[in-house]
Amino acid sequence: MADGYVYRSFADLHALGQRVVDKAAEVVLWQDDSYSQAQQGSINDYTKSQTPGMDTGNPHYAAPSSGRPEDNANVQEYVRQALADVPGYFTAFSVPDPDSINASLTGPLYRTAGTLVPSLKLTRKAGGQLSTDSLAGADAAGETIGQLVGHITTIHMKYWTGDAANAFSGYCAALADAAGLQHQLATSLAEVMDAHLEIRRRQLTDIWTIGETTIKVLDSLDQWCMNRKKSTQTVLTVVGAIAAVVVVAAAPEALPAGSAVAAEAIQSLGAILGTVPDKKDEALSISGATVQAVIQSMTDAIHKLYEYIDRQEQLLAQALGALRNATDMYRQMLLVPSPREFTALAGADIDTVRGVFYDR
Amino acid sequence: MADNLTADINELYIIGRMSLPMMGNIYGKVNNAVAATADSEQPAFTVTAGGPPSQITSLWQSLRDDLQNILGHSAENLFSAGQTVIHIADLFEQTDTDSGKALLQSYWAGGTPPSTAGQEHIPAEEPPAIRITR
Repeated sequence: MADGYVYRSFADLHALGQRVVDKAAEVVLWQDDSYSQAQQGSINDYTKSQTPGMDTGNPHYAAPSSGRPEDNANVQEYVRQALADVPGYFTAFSVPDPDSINASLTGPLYRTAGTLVPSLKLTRKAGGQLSTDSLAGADAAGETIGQLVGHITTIHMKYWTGDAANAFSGYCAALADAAGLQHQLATSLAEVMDAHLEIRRRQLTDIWTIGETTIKVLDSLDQWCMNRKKSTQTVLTVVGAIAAVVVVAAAPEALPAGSAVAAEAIQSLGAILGTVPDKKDEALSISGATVQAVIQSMTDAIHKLYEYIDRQEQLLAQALGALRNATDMYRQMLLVPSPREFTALAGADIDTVRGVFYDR
Repeated sequence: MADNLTADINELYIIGRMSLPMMGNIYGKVNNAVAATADSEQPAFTVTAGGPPSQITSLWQSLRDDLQNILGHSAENLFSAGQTVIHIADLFEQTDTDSGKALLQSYWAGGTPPSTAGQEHIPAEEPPAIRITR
């Protein structure tokens, strides 16, 4: 999870957007160049609004009900109208709280993976935030699929031979490999969801940073020096969201002996995404010498944020595409079919069974 | 020979009554856990307020459904295999000597016959209802 992450609701984001508008309207009044631009805009749109069939530059423009368009109060109102969409730029990033989703969605998948094949890596990965306790419950008494398969193949079936008995033993042995693959599929699904939710957290962090930085830069504009550009670097953390989450190659270390080949069948998400550059962050600047330029710079930064989010989502979609291919390719290993020689014995008589199940 | 057969039949009963149902129950529980994630997944795919859902939505959901079904069918196969193993054990038990039958009965009277390995036991819990999605 990104350092210093705080969940921001729709109302929080709307309030931030409104603070940007308020700050812009306030600074316009004392920053000469910004005021001149705003006043000119106010006059131009007023003129257009009085001309039938002519569109105003600002789609939210409403002619002042009193006074002249160049009056301070009307210029300030003009700025507010021009920035009416700004709160919406911020609330567009509003998402349900990722942490509330995590426990009900990612947690069960990690626990499923850990139940099929216990893995210390999974426990470490959850870092105490998510339970990776086995879902098997007390009735399984700590026996894993791999251990139970081992009891069958090495002890209980030791003296049972014949085509059907051998097929049944082979089926049981394949279940251990299947559990390893199922573990990997569950882990990869959990990791993708983890990364997806981390992108959501970081988009909230980043849009918040963009808003706060914009307010700071607006506040720092000089009153008189029209060409002195103010700039503050803002760091977009969303670019590092996947790299922050997918850090563990999820091959379970507790796979039964002989599972090495199967364990490689479904690559870990880390391996699938191995080509993702490990970017920690991306710096952008919110800058400008006037209110209008600073707001434009903020808008550019927001577009950049959309772009980065989209790119991260594309990477996750590519990873899921690879996972889909692997799942289809190894379906027979993921879901081991019961051997026909064995299932045919479900209603068989002793003579049939004796020939294929106790061949001695 | 009769003693060997009795012992071997006992091994089959352990598989059919203990090992396979224990595995089936584990698979049933993970099948249910994965199925339950569908109940809370919708908010997860919101990327922007009022915007289209995440690009990963259908891919992730179909793989999750696949995993759920793989685990569910694994459980069904294990329970079914357990029934077949018990049927086979019953057939051989009928061919055993009277002393073999009596011995086998005494093995299971206490619920923990010889040759159980690790923590093998007859599951006390009812098998979970398997959830298969289409």
